[in-house]
Amino acid sequence: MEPIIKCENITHYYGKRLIYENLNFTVAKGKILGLLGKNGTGKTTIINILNGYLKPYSGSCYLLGEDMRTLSPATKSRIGLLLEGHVQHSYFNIVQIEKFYSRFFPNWKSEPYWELMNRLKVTRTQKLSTMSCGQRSQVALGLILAQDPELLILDDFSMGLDPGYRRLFVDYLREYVAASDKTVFLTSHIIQDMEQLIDEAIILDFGKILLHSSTQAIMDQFRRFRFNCPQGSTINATSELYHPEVINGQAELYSFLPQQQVEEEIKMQGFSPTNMREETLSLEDAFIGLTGKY
Amino acid sequence: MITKKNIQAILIVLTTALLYWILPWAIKLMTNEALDYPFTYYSSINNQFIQTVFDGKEMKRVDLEGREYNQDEYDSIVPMFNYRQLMQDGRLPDTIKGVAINPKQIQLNQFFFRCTPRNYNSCSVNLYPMYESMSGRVSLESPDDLFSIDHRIRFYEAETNKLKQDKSRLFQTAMEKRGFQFPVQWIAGNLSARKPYDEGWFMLDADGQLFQVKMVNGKPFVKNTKAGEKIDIVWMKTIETANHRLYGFVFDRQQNVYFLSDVNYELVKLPIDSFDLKKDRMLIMANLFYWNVTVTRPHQRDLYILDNNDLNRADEHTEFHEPNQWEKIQPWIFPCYIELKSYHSTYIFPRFIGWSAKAVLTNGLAVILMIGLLWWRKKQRFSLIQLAYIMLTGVIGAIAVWCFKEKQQETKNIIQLK
Amino acid sequence: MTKAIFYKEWIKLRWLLVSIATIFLAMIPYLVLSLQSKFRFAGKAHLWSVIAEKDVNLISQLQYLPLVAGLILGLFQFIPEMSKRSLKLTLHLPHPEKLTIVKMILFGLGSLAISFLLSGSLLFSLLSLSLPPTIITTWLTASLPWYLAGFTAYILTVWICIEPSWKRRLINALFSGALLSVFLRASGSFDYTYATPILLAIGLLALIFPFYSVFRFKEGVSE
Repeated sequence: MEPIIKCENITHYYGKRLIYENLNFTVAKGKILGLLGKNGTGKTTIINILNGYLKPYSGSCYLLGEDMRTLSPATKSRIGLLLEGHVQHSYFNIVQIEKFYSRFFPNWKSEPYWELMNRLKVTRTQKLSTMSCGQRSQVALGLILAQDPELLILDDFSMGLDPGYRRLFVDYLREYVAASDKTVFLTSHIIQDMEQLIDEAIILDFGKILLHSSTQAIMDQFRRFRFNCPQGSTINATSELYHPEVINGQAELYSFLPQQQVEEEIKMQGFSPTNMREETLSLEDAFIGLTGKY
Repeated sequence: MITKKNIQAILIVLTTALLYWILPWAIKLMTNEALDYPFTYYSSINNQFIQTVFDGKEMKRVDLEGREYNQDEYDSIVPMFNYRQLMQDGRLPDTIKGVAINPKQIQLNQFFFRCTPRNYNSCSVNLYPMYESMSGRVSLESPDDLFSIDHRIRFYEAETNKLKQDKSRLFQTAMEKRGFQFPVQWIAGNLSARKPYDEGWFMLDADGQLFQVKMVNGKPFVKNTKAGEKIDIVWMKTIETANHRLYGFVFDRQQNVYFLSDVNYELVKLPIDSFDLKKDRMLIMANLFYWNVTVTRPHQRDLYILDNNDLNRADEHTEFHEPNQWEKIQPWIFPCYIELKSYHSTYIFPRFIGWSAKAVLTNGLAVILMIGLLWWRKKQRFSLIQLAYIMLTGVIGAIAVWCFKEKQQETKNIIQLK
Repeated sequence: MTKAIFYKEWIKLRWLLVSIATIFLAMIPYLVLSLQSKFRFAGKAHLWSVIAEKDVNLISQLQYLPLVAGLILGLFQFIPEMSKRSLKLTLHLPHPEKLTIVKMILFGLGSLAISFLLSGSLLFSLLSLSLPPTIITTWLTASLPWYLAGFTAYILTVWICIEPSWKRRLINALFSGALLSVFLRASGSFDYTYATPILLAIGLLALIFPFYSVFRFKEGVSE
């Protein structure tokens, strides 16, 4: 089956600074994919490229099989877009904005929008510009749900939201996607939220994709190992051992390998670890394990 | 086709044009100098041109041979220009050139006539007062109506803003009866009520015939001057002279200048070289003995001294224009430049002037140097079309190209708007 | 969908448009009353003669008004679109991008045209009660470039607003200032007799400039 999102050999620079080189990935239908990365790794850049709001240096992307540079109106109506900061036309009130958008989408469903709006403590004549960030996020979400798109692209949906609204957003989104065969591509800098939500994660590092894997696989296989080692010894990172750190003979590192193989890898570096403990990780810990603290 | 490249090209061309207008204007503003020909008047005492020259400190009065005159001497040798001063000092001679003179006589023969290309190249509101020419009063009275004329003549009453049917019909019939062919081509006259007397209006009809139209005792006075039968009239400017000798000056298509005499509308040709209404300025300072006719052309000034009696040429003098700083540097910098306003016309539109091949050469060299430098520093790259454009338009074109240069690296990706 | 786009612009701009129309309409009693006071002061026939002789334009206070209206309308319409780059939302609408922008600009131009036409026709019909047709046509001739400057100022402002880079915005603003100054250099009523078609052509040409900014916006040009 044709993937919903396909990016081929994306290379991009800002001035002379390389953002990434030859990025390739696909997102299959029905998946919720989270794009994770530290600040400055180019998450929003990818979203912009996907939507045709940034011309990459080279490479091409296809959304629903169509080149992102020439998305047709018909295809656009099948893509829901949430901009960073839940940006919406702030001079509208919730009635006006619904009236405006409903004209553009053939499958417009106003029920989910009003269901969500009724939970908000806003009046019908209140302009979006006078609403809190959390309330605006609900309006933006409501509009996307009413649009009923096949593909949702959400840029940093958790930005500026307090835990209650974040939870509300995630719950609504998950429920919505579960009920239909939607595909979601999202970024967020709060990884806690994603754990409950995403099927797949792409973890970006500077200039490249570090990992593209299902969330389940990361949670099942990626582990932190803590152990003791002789004073003064150091451990080098390898392709299998992520971000080893030794403080006062207490060592920790991350790996996808089972404990036995980790021990063997360490032995190859010249000493035997003692008292090794294997720890399961939250997605946030796994992210730090993969990308490092710095 | 609206593509990014096309819009960019249009923006570059328009920017170039704007810079070709603004930069020369700014340079002229910075280097402008009061450069004009000195005031010159012909002495009826020693038949010499006397010029008033400012040497940076004080005014000097010199003749063409360089003899200097002080103020008193100047007053005496150009008595016609300074007769008031001479009268006040009690120095006005009784006779000049054997002719007995008196202030009244001097005044009667004196007039100043000025005509510039801006007078000709202009348009005015189509609304004119028709004064009563024989009111019997010393000063003219403003009428309570004004007329406009094109395919018809129409009088409008100011108080009510209504068309005066009767008066309009009266004039219309009078004009048609005298053979006036509507529509009128143009109308010449003096709108001001502060003129010594009124001779109405001179109008060129559709057949090129010049008519005088005025109001005498409330009735229309219309007469064909027949001037249009003798010459191909282009334009006329009227004047009121104290001695009522002439109605005004008439210009024909062959670039001759005539005055329309008070006697039977006789045309008298001025013995001067051709006069280009579109470019030349004329100043006539007439006195009892001579007419000082000054014709200022784009590159020279011709002074003609005509005898007041028979209008024969008595003397002449030509001076050439010294190029100012702008005129010296422009041909080396700008292959041409744009002016919106002109010294020669009140109309505003872009005029491409000062074409110079020298500038193409210097600009070409500058551009080669510049591109060499940029190439060497590997900073910028220009496409062949851009290079050709810069070669053609010079440094200004380079500025325009730089203004709208796209920074992003060349890629195969072209954003299209659906 | 055209209706929806106009609806959005109307919600965004209605108060501004009402203000612009009010100012234009308020100018009418001001000009008519000041003309009447001059009539009383100088006498009608005399004032007519002065207008004819000196080419006096008693509505020249209007000169910069269309320009300012165009500028302000452009700013109020497109600054909200550029704040947090919400133009992305507009371009993401399932409607051809070029047409979306065209319709937004048409809304602005249409609003200006309605203000200009409404106030202009009212003003000139009131003036023609006390001034002869030739003075009316003369002043109409003189005011054409002012209105053209208003439309062009609007389009150029849109072009500047959509431009994503500040450095280029500055260049665009300088360019626009120079271009608009071409419209307002007259000292006499008939000075633009030959140039009015050129001014019109400049205004029409400027219509495509905003798309240059849109291309750059779509490319993601930044500082």
